[in-house]
Amino acid sequence: MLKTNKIMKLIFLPILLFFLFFLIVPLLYMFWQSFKIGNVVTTQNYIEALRNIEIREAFTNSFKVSFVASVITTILAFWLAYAVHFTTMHRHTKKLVQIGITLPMLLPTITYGFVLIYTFGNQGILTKLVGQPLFTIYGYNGLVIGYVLYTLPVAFILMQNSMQYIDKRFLLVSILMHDQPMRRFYHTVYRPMVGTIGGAFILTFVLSFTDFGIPASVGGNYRVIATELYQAMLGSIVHFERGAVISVLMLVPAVLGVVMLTILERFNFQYKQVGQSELVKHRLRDTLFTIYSILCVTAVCIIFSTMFIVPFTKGYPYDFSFTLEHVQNVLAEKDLTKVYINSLIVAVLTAILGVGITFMSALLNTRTPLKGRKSLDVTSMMTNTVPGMVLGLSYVLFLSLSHVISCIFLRHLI
Amino acid sequence: MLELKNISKSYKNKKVLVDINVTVESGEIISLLGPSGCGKTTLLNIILGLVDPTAGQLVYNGQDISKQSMQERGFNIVFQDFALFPHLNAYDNIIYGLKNKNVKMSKEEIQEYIDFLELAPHLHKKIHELSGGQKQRVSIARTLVMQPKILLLDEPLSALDGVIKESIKERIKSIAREFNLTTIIVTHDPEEALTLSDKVIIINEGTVAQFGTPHEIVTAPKNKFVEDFILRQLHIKRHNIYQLFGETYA
Repeated sequence: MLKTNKIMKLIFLPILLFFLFFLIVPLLYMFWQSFKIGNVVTTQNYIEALRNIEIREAFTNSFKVSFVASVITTILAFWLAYAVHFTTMHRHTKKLVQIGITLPMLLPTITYGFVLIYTFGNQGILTKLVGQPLFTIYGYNGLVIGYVLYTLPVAFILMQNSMQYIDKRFLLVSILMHDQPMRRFYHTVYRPMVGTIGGAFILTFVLSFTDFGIPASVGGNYRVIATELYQAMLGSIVHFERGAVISVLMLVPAVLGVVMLTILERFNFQYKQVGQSELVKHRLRDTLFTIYSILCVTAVCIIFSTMFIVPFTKGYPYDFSFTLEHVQNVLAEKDLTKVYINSLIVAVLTAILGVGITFMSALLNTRTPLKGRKSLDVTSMMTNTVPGMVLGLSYVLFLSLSHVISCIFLRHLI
Repeated sequence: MLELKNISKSYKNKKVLVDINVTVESGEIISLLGPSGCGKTTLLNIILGLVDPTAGQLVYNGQDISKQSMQERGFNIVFQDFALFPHLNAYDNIIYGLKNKNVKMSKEEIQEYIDFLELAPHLHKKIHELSGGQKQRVSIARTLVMQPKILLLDEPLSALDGVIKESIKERIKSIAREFNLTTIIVTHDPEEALTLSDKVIIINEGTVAQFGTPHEIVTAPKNKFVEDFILRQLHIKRHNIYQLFGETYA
């Protein structure tokens, strides 16, 4: 027993130190930096930033566009998950939804923006087909669509995972108790899902609020907080303090999110066991949900398909004939393959290290009586909500790298 | 009176129930007894209206109810693990279905059910704070206030521990008597079936192996299955108990 205790502590310590040095301390340091001008400690930076109309506008814009996007995403994801778990539509359709909706998750967010441009932009495929732009993709519209596409997979996975653990026999109980559809929906689906719905909303909001890739490509003149941060740090004149202040501002929704998640936790309950029951068939409902599901999947597919069409066209958007020329050219570039391999190495190492640390943390957290193990809960929630760009910036400040190196570092992180 | 006429059920090529013919008198306690996978739960679901039979007719008090929906039939079921809404307390679970009824039940009437099931001290508890037996009683109360024409119980004793089992058994008997309620119970335990019910339907591989009173089954088993499977179990049980207490104890 004593021996295992020692081993536990031996594992716990490096994990704790890792989080301390690569998460907590850099963030605290950044926080500290945001209060400094030269060597003077002051709130001047905040006052300036909040007085700055551009930053204020960017902040409210970010808030507005993220809010709208996450409301849409949450609703879409909820009904998609509902279609999979609470209707008797064909199982092939269900599989299609599960794959079609989650697949785009594997793409980096910046491709979402490009894909939107290829589809809805002035020279986009859809624009060409219709003859004129349906709406301007640059700015508010593009951001909302981009964020929805980006966060839909995550929200959907959360919802459908949660619905999987809802006891379907309550539907039967509800029918036997002569419930009207609204009451049935409330007690058998909505009420058990409240916690998850709230969680999905918060998560999609924070993801949208802190995302950089989508505004970078389709943001246009619409200022959001993420692009402000980028400009503060990588513009012609670097404002470290302003960057720190914006980072702290970007953390506000994340912090609020964590608080709200803990409150939402109270609404959750677990079913002792999950009974399987045959769902009652309902033609109209199933047809409606099949149409809805196919529409959603088709929309996602159409938007992303351009990504696979464009590389094989001769001169997009003027000449749509098939060619492998571009692919061959790109593959012939030495630099690109080098970068590609670099990315692969970094990704593999990250995956190995990440899985290792999370596995160990989870093990320590649930299977040992170690003191302070609950601190891992907090850190895991932090890593979930702290935007990558903010963390990157905090590293830059913390490690006090030279300007050039820090730019490269920052670029890499994004 | 509930009549099952030539009820059959098959899924694709698999025959689950073949030609079931049984008549249940009103106010009787009937057990559906058989090993797992024999089709007894399917039969219960057919009576409830959740599953459509492939062939055959269900007749209730002279009326063909085969095509009626679950709601129209007005039967109700208590699940094995009770299926109480975890976000409502015991009382709100009990009156859950009443809120949907046009004819309101008076407070006194509800109280009668609560008193009968001795649930008064537990009404404001959350579901997870109740013991297994209490949950079972809340679940029965929730179903009884709906005044079902037939009460179906799916393995009502299997989730309970020994001592409570006996008291719930008595409770089920007294419910059937008090409300003159036809009660159909699914169980795989011969002892439970034979000590609890007026008549037992023994099902084996989708057919009725024997239908009769516990006395008939014990004294005149109709075939080898009833003898081997049902009676042997009881003999072994009796033997074990005699060994524990000695023959003279009986």
